[in-house]
Amino acid sequence: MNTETDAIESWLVDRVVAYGRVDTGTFTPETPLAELGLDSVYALTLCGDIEDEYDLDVDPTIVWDHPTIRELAGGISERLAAA
Amino acid sequence: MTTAGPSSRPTGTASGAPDDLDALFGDPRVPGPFDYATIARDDDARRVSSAAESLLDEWDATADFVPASLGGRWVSTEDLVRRWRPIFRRDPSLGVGYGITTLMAALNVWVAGDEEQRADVADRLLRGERIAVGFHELEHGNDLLQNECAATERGGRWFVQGVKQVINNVDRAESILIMARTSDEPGVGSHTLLMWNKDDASRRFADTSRRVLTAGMRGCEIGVAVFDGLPVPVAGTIGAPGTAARTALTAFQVSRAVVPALAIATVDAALDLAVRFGTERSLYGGVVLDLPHARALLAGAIADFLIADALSAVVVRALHLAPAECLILTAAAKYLVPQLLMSAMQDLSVLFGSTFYARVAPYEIFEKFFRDLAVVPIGHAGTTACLLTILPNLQAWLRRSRRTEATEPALFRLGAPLEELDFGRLSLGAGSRDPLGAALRDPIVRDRFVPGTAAAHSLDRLGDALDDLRNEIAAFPASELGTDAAPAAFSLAHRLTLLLAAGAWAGVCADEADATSVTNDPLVREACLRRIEDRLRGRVAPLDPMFVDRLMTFAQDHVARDIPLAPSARKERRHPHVEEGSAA
Amino acid sequence: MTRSVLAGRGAVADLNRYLGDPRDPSAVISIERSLELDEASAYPGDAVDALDAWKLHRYYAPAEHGGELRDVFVPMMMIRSTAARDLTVAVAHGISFLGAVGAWIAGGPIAATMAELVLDAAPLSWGLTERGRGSDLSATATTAAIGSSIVVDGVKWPVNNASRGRAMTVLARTSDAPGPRALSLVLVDKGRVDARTLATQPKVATYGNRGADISGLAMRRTTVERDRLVGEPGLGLEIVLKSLQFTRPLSTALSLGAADHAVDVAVEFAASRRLFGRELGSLPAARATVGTAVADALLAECVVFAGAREAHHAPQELALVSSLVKFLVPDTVDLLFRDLTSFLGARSQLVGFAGAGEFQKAARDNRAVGIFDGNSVVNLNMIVNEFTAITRPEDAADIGGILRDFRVDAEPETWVDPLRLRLVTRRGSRLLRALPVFADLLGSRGSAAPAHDITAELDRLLDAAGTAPRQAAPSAASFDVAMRLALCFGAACAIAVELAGRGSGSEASEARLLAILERIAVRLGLVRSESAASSAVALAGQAFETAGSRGRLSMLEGWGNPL
Repeated sequence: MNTETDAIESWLVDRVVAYGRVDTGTFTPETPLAELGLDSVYALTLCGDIEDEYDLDVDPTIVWDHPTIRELAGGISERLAAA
Repeated sequence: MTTAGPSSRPTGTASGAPDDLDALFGDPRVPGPFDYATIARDDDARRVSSAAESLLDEWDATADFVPASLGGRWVSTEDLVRRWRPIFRRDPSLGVGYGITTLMAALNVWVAGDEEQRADVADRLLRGERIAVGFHELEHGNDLLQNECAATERGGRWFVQGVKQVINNVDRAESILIMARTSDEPGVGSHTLLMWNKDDASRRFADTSRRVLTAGMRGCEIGVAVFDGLPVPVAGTIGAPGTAARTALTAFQVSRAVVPALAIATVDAALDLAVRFGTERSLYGGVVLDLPHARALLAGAIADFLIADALSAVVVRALHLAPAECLILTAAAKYLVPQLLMSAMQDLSVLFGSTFYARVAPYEIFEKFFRDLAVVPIGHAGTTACLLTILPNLQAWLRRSRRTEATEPALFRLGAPLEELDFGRLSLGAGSRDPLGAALRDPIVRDRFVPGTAAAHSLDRLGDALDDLRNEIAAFPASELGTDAAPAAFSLAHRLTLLLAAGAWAGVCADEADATSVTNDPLVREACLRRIEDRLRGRVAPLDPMFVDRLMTFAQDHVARDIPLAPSARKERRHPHVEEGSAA
Repeated sequence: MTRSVLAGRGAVADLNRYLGDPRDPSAVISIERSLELDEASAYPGDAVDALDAWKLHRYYAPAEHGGELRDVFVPMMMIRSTAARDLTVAVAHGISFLGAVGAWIAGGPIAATMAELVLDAAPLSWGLTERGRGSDLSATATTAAIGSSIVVDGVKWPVNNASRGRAMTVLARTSDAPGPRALSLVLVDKGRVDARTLATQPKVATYGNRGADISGLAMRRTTVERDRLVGEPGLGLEIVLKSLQFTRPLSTALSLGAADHAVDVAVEFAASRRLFGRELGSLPAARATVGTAVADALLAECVVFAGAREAHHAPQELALVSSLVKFLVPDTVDLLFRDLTSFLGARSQLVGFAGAGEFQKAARDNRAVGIFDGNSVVNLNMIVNEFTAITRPEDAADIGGILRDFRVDAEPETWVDPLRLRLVTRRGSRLLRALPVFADLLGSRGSAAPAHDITAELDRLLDAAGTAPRQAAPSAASFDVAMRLALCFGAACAIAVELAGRGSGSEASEARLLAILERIAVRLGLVRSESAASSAVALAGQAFETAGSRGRLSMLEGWGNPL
């Protein structure tokens, strides 16, 4: 894991907490997002946030394919590298 | 004349217990001879339940259409509606097919028949006979004065030549009331009403065998009558020759009031089903009614329903208490109530979604209700025809409305005793006052709305809207209120019906007869008034969540207790095993 | 004009000739026969066979797989023509297109397999729904165990064509893991599996489309070959959602046909009926009613056309556009039917009587479009989910590009590139973004006034959408914003079609656009209906004139759809 992925991961943790369904410290980056009260609508919001933050085109399927914060950070990082 | 109230009805028949139709039919959701599943199957087969028809025979159902003074059960029209509602709660096509068109035909005789004719028709109805309304000609729709089917008099008999179309019970009815052209002169004096009592001698001059199929009311036996020199004795002339239009316009005021009030019961049942569906059907990990959009749809339908109920109930009472004003009032009810009810049904059909479209038990009856009710706005007085009744009377209404200071509280006291209807007091004009419009500004009504509250503000805005409408009508050229009126004129009449509905709702809310009624709830009061304000503006927005929650609580509570939602029904019992707490 | 444009239009015209005049009892689809079958809830087998004989199914398979499908608008106009005669027949045949689309999106060898079925005129079905689960696909309980072969177990019901169809594209659970990647699509060809493992489920009685084969298929450990997966395992839901982006606009062509039907009946009624001693069509209120219905029908036509064009030219925005189209068109046409019901009076309710007996059938049939394959609630929810994208700071809309794409003679040469589809858009729809510029482009024309009013409403709606809370179950207020956004989208579609048309700005074209936009303003609650009456009355005049020469008003020159 590289520092960039770490940074993405902690940005994602902030976004998840900001959504307001879970508190910091009650979950880990490996908790499935679905268990964090993050429904399909939040997936859309999160994709919008990712696009704005990283200037990437992502579809909600990125959350389907990377269902935890850690995996999602990895997925974003891969796409950034490929971009 | 008796002054029988709802609890002390005349017992003109031997069968007794005339109020127990709900008990006799049984709960339609529970398997039985006349349950929803059977009704839906009969509808598919284009018939009505013969079991239910024989039950109605035994119950002497048509005695309700005969005034008590002629030996029947009809005193209060409100009671008539209440007794017949259990039928419309189960199968509107049974109600129409079994009796309502017979009532419509008989009304013409009560209005214009001589003593002998009235006694004869009363006897026939008390024997359970049917009379078909032979008025409609497809080519002319509601424009009755253009009807072509003609009669000529020769040697004490009329001879009828022509065709009547879309006539309910035309084949099985024992009699047909025929509207026939008896003069080539244009105008209101060109048609005459003739009562043809079918007998072996005359039957061969008429062919009534062709059936017409309809999308709704599939169980009704609607057909065509072809008359080829049909002889009708001159003694069968109802009213003087040339008075058909006048008689029909008077008589139909009663049916224009009664039919919408009966349709209320069908939508009441549909709302009941919708609440059950929304609470039982799971979707996205919850139930349908967890979704705010679904709740708002249902709540909006309930608000429309409550407004429709208030207007129709008050207009039924007006037949007795404000008969001279009933031309406009009944046209308003027949125009607006079906429109509000269809709008509610449309919203419910969206809520039911694929369960509406693909008929799935136990909700399959909703699809039938939806089709059946679509016929009501068309029925015997179409939407346009009702507005055309109002248009030429707008200026007269305006003068009366401006001088009416107070309303008539008895109009809004739903369920209070009424004396027998005096058909002679129904008029073909605007009457002398505007009791429903006046309700919007009546000090007592305003006081009961508690000045300063949001509901009172809404009431005041509607009062202002009434003033604005009066000014618009005053400025509108009277010459442009005829049959070729522009859409702007129709808009005046449309908005008048909405404001009359607002008056009816406000009046019913202000009536303090029943403290437990939903009409006492400030949020419900306001929700309905706002709904009317929206309709006046032309677009209905979703209700605010606070209104939605209150209306949903009201509906869910009534459904759980198995009692009807309509405030006008608060004294009726829905199912035999339930005793309603608020019963008188 | 390119060769394929002419070929596409020629084929639509040819189908119209083939189908003939429905009032002729010997026509391929006759009103008489349609009503008879509807009354008996019987499947219109002869008409479907006749469409097979004409080879309509060839337009359901992309050219690259041997079919005739290039511009998706061509089969849409064919479906419209069929539906204008009998919507039940159009659905019964067109449902095969829906069953096949998943394979065109997935691509690969399964597309060739599917193309063989389609080109063989095999009836297909799309097995998504299950009993009691409504539109909630993530709750799919049917399973497919993937090993050396695939074992499918479960019941699909209610599904159109389930019993008659030769093959069903089945959505099934292929993994126990939670989430959307647990679902896959499997092609179950009844001719290639052990028939003893299949059982059809009874036909459902329906409000409209009474003759349709809406039934079910039970699969009990039905084994299919491993290569019958439509797309990779786990891609099922994604392929379905992308397929729906096509099928939603596609199915609105049915509503367009129903609208044609209704307007024909109303125009003829107004022209022939006398009321109060005058021709009904000469009474101002009646003219306004007919004109309003025509305006609604023309709006629907513009929106359907936009759906087809955006599928090719803006597939990355189709996630939103398809929902806007699928909400607005059936809703508009249903409204049209309800308005005309009271206008037609008793005739609207009669079955097979006095030349108007098919109206009630068309009205019932049309309701299916707004209920199945994503109902109005689902589509509005999709629009709400796009609020963030719609309100994101926007690029200037490429007006020239839109108008090029919207020329009726600029037909796409190839079927859509599925790789450009997304489940959510980045910036909403370019048509919505273009509305303010469109309004300006109308300059001093009368239609500019309602266009600017609608633009101002769009601004208010964007503010509301931008501040709406993000909720899994959106508020009724958000749904209302979505509904009104769809109407603004409709206005943009109508202006785009008008501006791109060859007759743009002519008196007749301006009168049509004015009536459409004023009607939208009424539906948005910006003005009361009487304010739009004069433009509706003028439009009715055009409709009566066109009907006099046995034609139908259309916003799409050259694509007109004569009966």
